[in-house]
Amino acid sequence: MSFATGCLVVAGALSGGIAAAAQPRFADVTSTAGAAFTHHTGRGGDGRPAYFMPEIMGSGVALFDRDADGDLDLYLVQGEGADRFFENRGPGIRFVESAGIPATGAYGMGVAAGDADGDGDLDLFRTGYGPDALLLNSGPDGFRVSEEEFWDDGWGASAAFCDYDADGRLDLFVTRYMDYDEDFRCFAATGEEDYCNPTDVPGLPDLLYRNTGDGRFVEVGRETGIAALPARGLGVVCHDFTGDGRPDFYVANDTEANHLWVNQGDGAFTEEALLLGAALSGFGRAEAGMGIEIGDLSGDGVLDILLTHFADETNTVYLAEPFGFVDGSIDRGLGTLGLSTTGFGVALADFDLDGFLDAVIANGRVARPPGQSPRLPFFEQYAEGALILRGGSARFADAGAGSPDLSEAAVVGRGLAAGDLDGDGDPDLVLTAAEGPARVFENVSSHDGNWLLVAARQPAGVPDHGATVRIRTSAGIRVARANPGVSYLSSGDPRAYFGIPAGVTIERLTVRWSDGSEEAFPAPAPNRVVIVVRGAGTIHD
Amino acid sequence: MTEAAALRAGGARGVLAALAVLAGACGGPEIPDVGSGGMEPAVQEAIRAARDALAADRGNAAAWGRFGMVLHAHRLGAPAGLAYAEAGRLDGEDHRWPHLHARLLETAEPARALGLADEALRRNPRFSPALALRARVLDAMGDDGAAEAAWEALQEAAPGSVEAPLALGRRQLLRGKLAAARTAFERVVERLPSSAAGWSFLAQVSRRLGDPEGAAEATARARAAARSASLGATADPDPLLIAVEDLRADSRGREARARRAAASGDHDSAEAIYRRLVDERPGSADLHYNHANALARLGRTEEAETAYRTALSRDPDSSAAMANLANLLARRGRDREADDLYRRSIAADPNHLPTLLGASSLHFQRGNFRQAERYLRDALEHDPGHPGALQGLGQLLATAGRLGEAAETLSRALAAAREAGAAAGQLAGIHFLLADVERQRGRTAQARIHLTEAEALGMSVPPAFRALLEPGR
Repeated sequence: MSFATGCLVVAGALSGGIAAAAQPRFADVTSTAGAAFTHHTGRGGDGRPAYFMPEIMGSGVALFDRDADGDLDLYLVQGEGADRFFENRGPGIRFVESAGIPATGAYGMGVAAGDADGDGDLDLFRTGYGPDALLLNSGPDGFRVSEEEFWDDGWGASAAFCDYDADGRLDLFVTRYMDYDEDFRCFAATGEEDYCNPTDVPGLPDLLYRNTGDGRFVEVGRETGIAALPARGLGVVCHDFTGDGRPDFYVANDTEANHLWVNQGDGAFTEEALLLGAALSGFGRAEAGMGIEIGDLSGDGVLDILLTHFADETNTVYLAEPFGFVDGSIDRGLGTLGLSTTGFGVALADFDLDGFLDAVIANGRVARPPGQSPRLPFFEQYAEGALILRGGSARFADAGAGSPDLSEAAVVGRGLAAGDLDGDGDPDLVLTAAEGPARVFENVSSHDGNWLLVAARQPAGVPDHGATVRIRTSAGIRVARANPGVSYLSSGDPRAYFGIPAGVTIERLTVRWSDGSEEAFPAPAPNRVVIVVRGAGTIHD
Repeated sequence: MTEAAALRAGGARGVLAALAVLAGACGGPEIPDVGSGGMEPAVQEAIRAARDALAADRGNAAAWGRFGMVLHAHRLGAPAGLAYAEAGRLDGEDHRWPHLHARLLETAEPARALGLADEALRRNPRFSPALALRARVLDAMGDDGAAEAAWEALQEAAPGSVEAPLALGRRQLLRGKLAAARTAFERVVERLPSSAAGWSFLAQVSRRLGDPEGAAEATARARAAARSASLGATADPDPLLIAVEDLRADSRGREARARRAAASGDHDSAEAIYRRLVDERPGSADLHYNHANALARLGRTEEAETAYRTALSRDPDSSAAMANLANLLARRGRDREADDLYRRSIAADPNHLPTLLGASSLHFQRGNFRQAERYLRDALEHDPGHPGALQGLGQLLATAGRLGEAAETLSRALAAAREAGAAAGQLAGIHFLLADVERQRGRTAQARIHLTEAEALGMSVPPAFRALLEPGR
């Protein structure tokens, strides 16, 4: 096996032309965005125990263009109750609620967007504590639940559409969290009851569904080898981590070694995270993996991994090297930054268009501080502000001060999705919270840079979820994913996004499709959304 | 990790209900009066007792330290820090208080933790847990050169450390000094064979050194270690932190202490803790079961039987309780009752390995080899690499005179036991069985090799076999 080493660039070179004040900034526009949604845990209701574990894990958000009108619509998963769907009715960040969301019967957790039935529009897969469900896009009528009943009814978490067998159809990987017994009670050191520590509950094998192309999916975990290793899976991302032209799956496991399922190309996967250095932290610890993002943090043209974790654990950077992965967290300043909070959803993008990847991490505790029971409203005891990190040539820096709406307003942060909601090119954010409102944040970073959004599509018109887009600029090579299946329980903008510092020009655009083949396209001008269609050789606005 | 976070959160949010001045005459800080709403009565009582002792002697550093430890044990970080600070101020020579204070602040306030670790080391320069803490903090802060020196200082002060070679090996790996990294990681797994981290790093470095077989073996060992909840410790044991844990008064904390006692062979302590816990939580099948195990270990078989039966009354399908009760009854010659229990247990869970092994042992000892073999093969069908089942099957085959099969099965048992990081005693036992089988097959040289291995692993070779060890025979 060989790793994609990509083209070496000098990351610092992209900084020429950075405005001195460049830093990611976000403004809370929830009140005017028209997407009023509050997550309901239903705590204590329906005969449930007082500390029903699914309720503290929150739920996800999907940004996807349901009606193919070129903007991102918004789907929010509800815990106890009905999901909600909002159509984007810009200009600006303006949503209008749309009806037609069917009930699925499960306590909602995650969501993934993809063209499951190959009809050219985007469908949704919804996970839950209870039966998962495929919601088929019915056009103006909304969604309908697929009547096929081959989905799991345990505790599903994140899901990712990806064509792992290169047959042109999107398959589906679903993480399963744990084999939870509602009668099992857990306690803090003071004897106060609280949500269980994950180590108290055994994990489950994750699920891989192969799309058979006739509207059916077949679970192939046993045949592919994925069922062999049960674990407490949360986040998942599909990407060719080994550079062999085949998509792999990387799974963030909670308090267990992470899994890297390496695609062997013959329908089988082997788990190689322990061998390749992506299972444990650099200190050898199995951390509480929650959310995952991928991006080129080292500027070498290869996508690295950022995992969010529990408090007292780093949010860990696994840098992709030719021989595997190394933990680069400390070198990037994460040895101390963000150590006091519990991270879940995560977005990695050049939010301030200075040529460096920034990060936003949704935080919120899963256990209460001892001795605090009666002092605050229940869920406020679990609330924390988000972490905003400004990227640089070497280390992240805390940029929370510029976005108090996001960094200081404490919530039980869980799902997080980034995407250009208002059509101005830079990524905005949607944050979900357990027992709290979903909040919409407009990217208001001050900058003098440019941007480029690239939608990588298969000839049939659907996004290629495993594609990687590479641009050569006057300042070096940049790489970005065209893959919505990142973060935690969520699905973001499927378009590859690039921030381009002022004065830097784009010289070439290359797409590496999910089957490993590469295709070059003419260099686009910046500040555009371009569509590249496989085999077409041209780009479209 | 969970608990450390809770500690810090306790500090950040403030668990103090009020600050009460219990004795202000000597000018020291106020004694924190922590809020107790929602806490278990035993926890409240432990905190109250420590505070009362301190109030009676406010100038006593040890009393402040003890109060801090009790609070620390219950994750009440902020007041624990205050108490440690005062203990450290009153006694400028005791390294314990700045060290424990540093442990509280290790991740939340690394710069302060570093200062406190330095103070602990000024008081006791070779206190290895403080050296380790200092190295960890420097590493986290990105002070590369100082961290490396700190890890080397730890390695020198604590030659048995696992943490130091792990950290130093990782640094060598990052620099591409693969041979040095491999040496360091080999040291880790030699000292702690259950270290998933050590094996994982060893796999990575072996792969990069072009040793795919070594990488595959190390990966398998890493995966086996990773199956355990602890993954093998990555930090060296800190006796002061263990002492803090021992002060936990909550039910689950005492339960953990009982488990630690049982694991270390202190069954008297384990039994005493479980006895009190079953009084407090009489509905818990697990507690009755663990209490029964402690009683059985102490040879108090009648009480153990009663406790197992109580556990089964709480959870009639507990295969573990049925298996252990059956084992107990079998040892007392009550074979029929034991056999009935094994059958019930298998009906509840056909794959319950301890039951299958126990039932096999019962039938083996009664000469019913066919049934014994059937149980073992059922166990191996469920877990083909189970060392105990392979060992039992090998022994059974040897007894039945099927020596070739026995040798092959015992060799598999040996490999499986090694991979699972089995204790020396089990490895020695398998070597001894192999020696006996090879002796019966007339393969004296092989028998001698296994007998030598068994002896090297600490087994006392029976007199009848000693002659085998003599060369030339």
